[in-house]
Amino acid sequence: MMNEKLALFKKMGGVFLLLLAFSLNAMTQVQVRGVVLDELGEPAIGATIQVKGTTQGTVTDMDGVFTVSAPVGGTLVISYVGYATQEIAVSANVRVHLQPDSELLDELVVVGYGVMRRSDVTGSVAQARGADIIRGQSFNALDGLRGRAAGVNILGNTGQPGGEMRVIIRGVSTINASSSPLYVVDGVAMSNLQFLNPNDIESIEVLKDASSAAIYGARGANGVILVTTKRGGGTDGSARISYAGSVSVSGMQSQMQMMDSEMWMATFKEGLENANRWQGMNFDTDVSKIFTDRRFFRPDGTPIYNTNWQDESSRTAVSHNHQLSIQRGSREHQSGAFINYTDQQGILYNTYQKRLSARLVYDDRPVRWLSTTNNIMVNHAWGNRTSDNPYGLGALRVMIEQLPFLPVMYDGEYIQSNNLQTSRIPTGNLDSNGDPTFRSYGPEGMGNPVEILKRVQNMQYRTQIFGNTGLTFHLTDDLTIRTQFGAEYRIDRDERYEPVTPRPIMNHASLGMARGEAWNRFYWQEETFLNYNKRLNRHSINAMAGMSWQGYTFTRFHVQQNGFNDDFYGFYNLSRGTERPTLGSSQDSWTMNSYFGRLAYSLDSKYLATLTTRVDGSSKFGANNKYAFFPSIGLGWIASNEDFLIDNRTISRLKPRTSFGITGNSEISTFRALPGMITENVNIGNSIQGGIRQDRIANPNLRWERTAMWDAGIEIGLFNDRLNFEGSYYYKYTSDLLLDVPLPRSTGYASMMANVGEVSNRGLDLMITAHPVQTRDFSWSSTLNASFNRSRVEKLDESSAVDPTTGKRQILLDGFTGYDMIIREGEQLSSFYGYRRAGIYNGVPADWNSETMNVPGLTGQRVTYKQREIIGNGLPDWMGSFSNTFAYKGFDLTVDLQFTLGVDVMQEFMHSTEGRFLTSGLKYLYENAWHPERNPHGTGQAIRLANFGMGNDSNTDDTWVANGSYLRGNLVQLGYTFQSGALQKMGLSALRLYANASNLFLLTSKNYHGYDPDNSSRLGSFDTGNPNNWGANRQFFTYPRARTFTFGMNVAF
Amino acid sequence: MKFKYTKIFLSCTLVALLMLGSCTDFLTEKPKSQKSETQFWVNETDARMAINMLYASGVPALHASTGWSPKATMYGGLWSGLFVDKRRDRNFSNAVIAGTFNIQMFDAEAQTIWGYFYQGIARSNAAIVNIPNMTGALTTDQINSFVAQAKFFRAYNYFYLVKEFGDVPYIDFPYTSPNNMHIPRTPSAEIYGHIEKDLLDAITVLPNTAFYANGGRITRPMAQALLARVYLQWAGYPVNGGNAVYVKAAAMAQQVINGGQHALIDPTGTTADLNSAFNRIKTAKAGTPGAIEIIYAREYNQTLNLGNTYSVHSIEDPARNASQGFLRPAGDVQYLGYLPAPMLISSYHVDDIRGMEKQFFFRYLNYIPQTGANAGTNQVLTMGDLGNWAWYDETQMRNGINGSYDQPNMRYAEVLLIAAEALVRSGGDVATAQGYLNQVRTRAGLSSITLVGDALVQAILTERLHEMPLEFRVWDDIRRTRLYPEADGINSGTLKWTPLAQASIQNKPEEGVATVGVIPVFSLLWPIPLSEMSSNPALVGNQNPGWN
Repeated sequence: MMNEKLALFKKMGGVFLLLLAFSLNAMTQVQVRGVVLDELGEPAIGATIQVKGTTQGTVTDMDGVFTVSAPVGGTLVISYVGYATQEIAVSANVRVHLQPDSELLDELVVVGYGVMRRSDVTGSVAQARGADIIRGQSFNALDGLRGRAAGVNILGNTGQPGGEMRVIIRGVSTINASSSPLYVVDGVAMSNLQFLNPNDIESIEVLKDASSAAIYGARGANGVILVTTKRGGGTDGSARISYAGSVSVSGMQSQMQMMDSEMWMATFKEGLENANRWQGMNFDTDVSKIFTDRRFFRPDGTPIYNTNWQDESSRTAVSHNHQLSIQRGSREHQSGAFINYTDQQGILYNTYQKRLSARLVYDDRPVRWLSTTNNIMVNHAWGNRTSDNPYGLGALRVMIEQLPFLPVMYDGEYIQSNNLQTSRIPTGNLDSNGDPTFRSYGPEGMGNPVEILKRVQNMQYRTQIFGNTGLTFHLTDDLTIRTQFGAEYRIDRDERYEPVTPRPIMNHASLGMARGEAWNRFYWQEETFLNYNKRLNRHSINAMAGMSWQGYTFTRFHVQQNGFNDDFYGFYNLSRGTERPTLGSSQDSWTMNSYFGRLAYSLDSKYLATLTTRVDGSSKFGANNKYAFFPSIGLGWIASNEDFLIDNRTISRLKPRTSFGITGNSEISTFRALPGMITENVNIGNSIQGGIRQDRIANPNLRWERTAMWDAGIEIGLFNDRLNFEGSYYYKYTSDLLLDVPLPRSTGYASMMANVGEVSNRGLDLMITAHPVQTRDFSWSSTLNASFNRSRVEKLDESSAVDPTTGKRQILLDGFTGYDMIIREGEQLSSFYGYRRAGIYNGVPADWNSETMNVPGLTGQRVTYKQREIIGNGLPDWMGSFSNTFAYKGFDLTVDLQFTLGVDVMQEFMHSTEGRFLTSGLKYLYENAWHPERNPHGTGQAIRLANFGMGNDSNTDDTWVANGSYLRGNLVQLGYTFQSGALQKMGLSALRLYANASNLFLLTSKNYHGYDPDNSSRLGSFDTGNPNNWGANRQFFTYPRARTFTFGMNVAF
Repeated sequence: MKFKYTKIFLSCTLVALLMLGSCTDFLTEKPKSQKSETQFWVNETDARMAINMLYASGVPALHASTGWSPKATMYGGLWSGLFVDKRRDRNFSNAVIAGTFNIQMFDAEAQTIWGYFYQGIARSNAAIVNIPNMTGALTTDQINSFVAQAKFFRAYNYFYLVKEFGDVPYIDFPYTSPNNMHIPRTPSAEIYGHIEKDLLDAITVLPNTAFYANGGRITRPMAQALLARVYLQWAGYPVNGGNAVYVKAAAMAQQVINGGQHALIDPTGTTADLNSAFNRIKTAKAGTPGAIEIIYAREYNQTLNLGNTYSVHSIEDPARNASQGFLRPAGDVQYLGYLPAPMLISSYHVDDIRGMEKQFFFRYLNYIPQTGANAGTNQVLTMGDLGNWAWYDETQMRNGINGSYDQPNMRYAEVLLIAAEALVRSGGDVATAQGYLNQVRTRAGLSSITLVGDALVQAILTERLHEMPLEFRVWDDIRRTRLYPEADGINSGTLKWTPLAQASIQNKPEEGVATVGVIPVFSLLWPIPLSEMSSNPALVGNQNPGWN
């Protein structure tokens, strides 16, 4: 029993010292009094002080103070867990500043079903510390992870509070299944990190290669993000209370450059002139004869108002964030309570998200052979969102397209485009009956963005209850069995109300609309696994084997009611609606059963090997293919531990490693292998009759996507790790791609989900960390993080079409105006497809080759090449960040830049802002429009009045594509940490004040006319049933991203 | 040692429990919100619901809402140039105006309708094959009735396929697995044979009653009327079934006429007001005076949340603005999608009630401004473009909701005109043919005519266009006759049906330009959709000639 106890103490790496304070030494003793402080100047409680060469010693008290008697001229050894051991000479009064032991801190890496020493890992695992994640006070954990891990691309789709993010690890290797990684929080899969409080995070590990991710088998192909949350902290049993708070002020980072009233009128006039010039019209070009609405126009036709709708719709937003942590930890017991409240305001009116989050941790080892971990968190977020879907006429779109000459309000009412009255004018032509013909201007029906923002209610309530409880049986010193049950319950609810008065918002149902929708999701998992760790002379073994059951059920319910008499009740009295309500409910579920194991072996701390394997079974797949097998192997060599390098002064660390393995992707919708019968209502006999139809054809052979991945990396540390380099090259080959294979429509079905197609991804992840200057008062640390990725469609099956020019198989997808995305063999995923513009037609047919070009009949229209081509790509070649931190005494300064290179943006908003002239347009529309005199070198189409049924060709071509590369001033932060002397006067143990600016500047290509190349109009996540898998940068209208200034403080008592 | 046993016992029990806890069907999918095929075709409700679905699949689905583009029902009229999509937001709408018959411009629409038709066929096939096996759950009469309805819809969809695309794959079985999917094209004449057989089968079973009296379900007169229409198309271009088929068309149409279930409303002549026959047809529902003339309609009822979206295509954009808040359509799709050519409007005789205000068309919009100086008082707006009164639904347009007017797919007037034309063309009794034609003319306020021969055929074709301008028949007529209507004097009541190659095409009516010969003969059939060509190797090399 005693042996067990000692072994246990050793294993825990504890600092327990059993003092036998007998001194038989005859040398002169002095009484040493001292204080031990950590790097923040906080007292180090329970630090061990030992007199070197003796068994004499003591531990520090609550104030970090100790007293010990020691021989004159002797040496004290001060050790404290997590900090470098120091030796100091004996004197009467000593003050010890401990420095964190970086090697120790980095030593343990969470790898899934266990931890490993970093040096033993053979896979590609990126690590980010919680402190770095919350540095910029982002409201979303993923936002904080952005740029901190090479190969992990985090794209902010929208600037809206609570907006979804897209995470792509080492490229996209799927088309129809999800491209999102698996999120695992404290060992339990979490649907996404959307509502996780970033302040709760201790660290994040990203498993990128097969050696590390294969342990998650069928859910590992997109990489795995492991989150470890904060626990009790400390080992001395004392309580710690800390508070972190911040206040932020945000505004628009930039505006889209739109026409003002004057330019709009000039553009309209030019449209009339062009119609006369080229379209056989004889309009009177005096616009005052059309714009006769005296509320908005003077008698001479000049507009009275000049509204900047972006100014009118946006505001200076104020947000704040408060975190209170109460922690207590000893070696047997850890507990913590964490409470967070955030209020994030959006820069468009009435958009916000608030979150209340609470978490309790209780870890204990009640008896020697059993320990337990328990964790429960409740996150409740609520807020109002404006629709991120730009394709309707929501606020995001109309704040760009609304006419500049309309005021926000007139006579106490919000103005919409259909308030405008115009007069028709003769075309100057006669119809075939000899009667004069007329045209009148009617703008597209557009609501008022300010009214939509302020009066449409779109509340979202999101509750997440997430927890786990685990028992670990310590069978022997080396062998444990752990069983863990975890669950996530989510209640998501939307309440939407569109008001009745003063009149319906454009394009929304009249007489008010109320819609409620609720989703309940319950996920559970039970996992049990054995862990065996043994170090025997030169051999070190870390083995694990286990099994897992998982289940998920989902129910959804929605109700919609129209026809309200007044707005008093809003959403909250649905029965006031006078129309027939729409109702619906649905259910969904899946299950998984898995067996897994890992064997890590190292010889002499030089030669490393890791084998992992997982067998996964999923209900989603066909009866013939329920189970699949995912193996991997990783090899590493710590060359710096070899005799010939061990004493090398330059190379402090050198570790080449490589891995190969297979992972899977099972993230497709459920029931795809079954033929589903879908019900619909049909009107027969003026009554509702139920109808039913078969939706798809069964495919009992449906199986996983499989990704084989090879990874080769090297870790180099130079000059005692002052300069570190870490690089990995990878090659991923995904086969059995899940795809909706087009069927002949003559079967009655458009497509069938099947495993066809192969895609590869290759790339580099690079990270350079340097500490160029490290003196007592000044230090500088620098991290350059960059990743390169290139995908290639290797093979499509014979069901896809063949491109006549290249002979390659291809699939055209989902377009904005016709198909404008393509998957083609030999090309990258996320390729834009369309016509290349040859120029603007000058009216001279001889100047253009009608064999190869589409030559229009009308002067001023675009000429395109007949053959459509790939005109851009929506996934970046390079992404990364460059972060520098400077510290001078108590001050620290962080400058964090982010960049993206080699990517294109499809500016779909050109459809309405350049192509048609129905609404307002970009200034660029007028400035760039070709005109034989005004602008003979213009590359845009001549101005046409689409309102008069004489519009331009507004379909996609390559002029919509802009270089999407950017450089962003992501974060500039200045902080001051108070020194211990000042703190003691204030009665605090730590205090840091800081101010920062995020998204301070953004440099983009001059051809880019939108808000932020990072945004995407193709929102959606797998979670919402609308995966944006090929991740392209396609923008119609998006919620602008804010520039934010923050002031914050972190204090500990 | 006691501890050791305890912990080993505990952990072993735990593992054993977990392993036992997993049952063999843990990974079996059990959907609850949708039936699987194996749970289907069990009871009477299953069969009934499968049949109900056919009423909204295939051809009936052409009426579906389509946002910024014209409805699939309108494609033919737009193609003819006699109607124009004012919005021109789609390649198709621009291509038919410019006469650029290039496959890319037509592919999206071709795919839409091809897909609809085969969906209807697949659903019909599933019913035809599965329902006869449900002898335990259904009576023989039920089985016969369900199968007859399904055969009607299969024939209806194949009829549209063959007239739109020519030779098409003929499939008469449902797919349950991804096998046997590559079916080659079957000659049109053979397809017509299958259609005829399905409809003749259906006619023997379906009840001889009127549509609305039958609870909105398919009747014998409807199957007969469709077969008459099928014969008429089959007899003409491009299959040229000829005289024998015209004889069948006449006989079949006369079976409807003699069946006694349907009649013209106001057969002795109607008024020119809002109670006219044409306004009653517009508002026909079960129990209304207009019901007797409707042989088959797609039913709509917004209070059931099953409304239509025709009204938003019925008037020009600026009229909405000019109404000063009176009209509040579901604005994102409000535009004039089917503007009739001025030539067509001016070809109505001055006495022809159908050409008068607020019968089929209207120029004057009555409204009550909600704002401005005239708020609350009745106003009349003269619209720049003619509107389609037959679709205009004030309730719909004022409340931003969908409309409730049923959309007729077959009317008694059409049966009369089919009978008349088929009789003349097959050398039948001219007096009877004139009688049928004159019934339609009399009702519209026109005098009887006594023309014979080709002049009579021309008069019937004109009458078809004048009687059914918004029922989407003119393109079928142009395709089967290869004649195109040219102006024959303002308000003459006549049109000159001219061979297509020489005819002045009204493809830019709003600019007053008519151009000659811009519709090539090959374009009288749609191209086979590109996606279909690529997913069905049996079609390779067999595109409709002329399309590239």
